[in-house]
Amino acid sequence: MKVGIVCPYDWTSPGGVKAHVHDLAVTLRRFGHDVSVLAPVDDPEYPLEPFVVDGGKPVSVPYNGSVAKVNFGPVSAARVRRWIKEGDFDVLHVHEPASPTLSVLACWAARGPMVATWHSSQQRSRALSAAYYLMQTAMEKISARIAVSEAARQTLVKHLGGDAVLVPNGVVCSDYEGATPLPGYPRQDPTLFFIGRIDEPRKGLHVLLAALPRIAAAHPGVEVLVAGPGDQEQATEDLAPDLRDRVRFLGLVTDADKISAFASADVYVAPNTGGESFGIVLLESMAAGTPVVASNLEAFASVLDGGRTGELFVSEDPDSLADTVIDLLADSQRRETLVPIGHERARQFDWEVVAGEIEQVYESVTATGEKVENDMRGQFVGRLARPNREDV
Amino acid sequence: MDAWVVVLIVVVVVLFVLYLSQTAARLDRLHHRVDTSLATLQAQFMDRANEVLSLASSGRLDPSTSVLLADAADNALAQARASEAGFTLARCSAESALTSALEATFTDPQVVDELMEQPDGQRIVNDLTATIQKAAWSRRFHNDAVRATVAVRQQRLVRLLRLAGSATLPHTVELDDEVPPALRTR
Repeated sequence: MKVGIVCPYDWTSPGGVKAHVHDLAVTLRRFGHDVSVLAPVDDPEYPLEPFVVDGGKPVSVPYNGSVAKVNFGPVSAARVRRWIKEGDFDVLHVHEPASPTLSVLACWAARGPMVATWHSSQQRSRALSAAYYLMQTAMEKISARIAVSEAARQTLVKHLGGDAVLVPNGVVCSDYEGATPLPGYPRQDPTLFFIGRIDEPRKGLHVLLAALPRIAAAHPGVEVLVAGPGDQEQATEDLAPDLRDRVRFLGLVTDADKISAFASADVYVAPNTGGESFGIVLLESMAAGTPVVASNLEAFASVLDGGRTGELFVSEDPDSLADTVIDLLADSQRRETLVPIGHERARQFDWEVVAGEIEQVYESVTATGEKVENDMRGQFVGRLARPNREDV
Repeated sequence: MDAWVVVLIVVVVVLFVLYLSQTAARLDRLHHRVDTSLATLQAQFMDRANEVLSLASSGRLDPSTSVLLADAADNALAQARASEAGFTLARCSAESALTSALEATFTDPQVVDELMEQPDGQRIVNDLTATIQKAAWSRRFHNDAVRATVAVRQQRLVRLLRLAGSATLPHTVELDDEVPPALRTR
């Protein structure tokens, strides 16, 4: 099958949606499909994979309360049209189409079998309401809608109506299995691991550090490994000086170091306080064989199967976090039983399984054998905005 | 009359005509999407019944389960042939009955484990799960297309000017197509 995938965000900087599109493309290619990915490229030096097509340099603009890097305008639209024309796709798969990106341009430009995946749970944006008519006309061409989580599905239902099927995020388990720990690990004393922006409150490092005095009192040798960018001094300024050495900052880590850090820890702690639509990092930890302690956000509880495959604590409650971590560190038997349970759970989300389900969605929309084509009908407004139609 | 008023009227009329033609194109596209999703839906539910029928006649399940499944699948296929035009009430209830038969068979994980242990069993279980899942999904996709189409067709202007032409108003397909518990992936 010839599959065209549109990644809405910059291919050359790390991100959840980009990683999803990358792993999906790689797995589908392994299944024998012919995959082409259209993505914005910010850094021209980045070595693009052979299946990636440059969708143009994204522009930084304020959008929905923060600064977003997006692609829009006639040049981007022309690139999208050319890519669709040359690709001769059996199915077009766009990601996060409800934002001003290549994805919505692709929806706008194409007709035929189209699949869309919604990733984030977000508040209804003003822009989306204002451009509702235009968005709706582009969205209603999509033949199959996928949400990666219940939260993402509810966002979609609220904003656009209709429904979506649930196909979760995937994890490449083999990358995490049998990983080598960082030098000097595992230590004699227990090690906890945290990953995420350290000055982003929703990632919840402050909740973990507020629980640290009690954890350190119960397990004096404990160390907290912290991976992620942000101001390190500011993060620990509320801690007693003797507890500050219990925190080791790794800074922004490479993928390889992240995997090693998982393998170095006895317990991975996810104290996030909100804004999480899925919880891929929990699966990564379980794939690496590291038991998980996570806040009881809906998304996390669902990945941990309500506490069966990892421990949950009350979100934003340092005492609840401390109790859970202290008990789990003291109970080596529980930790040992969590390793195979977590591993089996992660395997259910392996990309082989997830991409297989996405393949089934493709099959559900391509049964009639139609191809993806440029849509020429009812496009007066779009055409007026594009004086040179070299691609048509 | 003031020339500007004439210009204004002309602009408004042109915009109105543009809007109408856009909406007609939109409706055309939506009707096409409904036709496509309905054709797929028909095919996927036929596949499901055929897959179950071939499993029931393969001798891999015990005789009473086989008869139960074969009967439900056969009935669904008969209703599918009888209702070529769409999903009649009789076809919907036959498909729901097939879903109940599948649920009765595949609620106990042991049944699936035993199937998996047979030669080629893993592939058969995977294919069956995929077929059931695809049928369920294609119904969701079809109903989504129907809802989007009906929403546009209910607009006052669309009804007043008969922009939908002679196309019949599509309706959603309501039946039970849950994947049985023991076959779910996670």
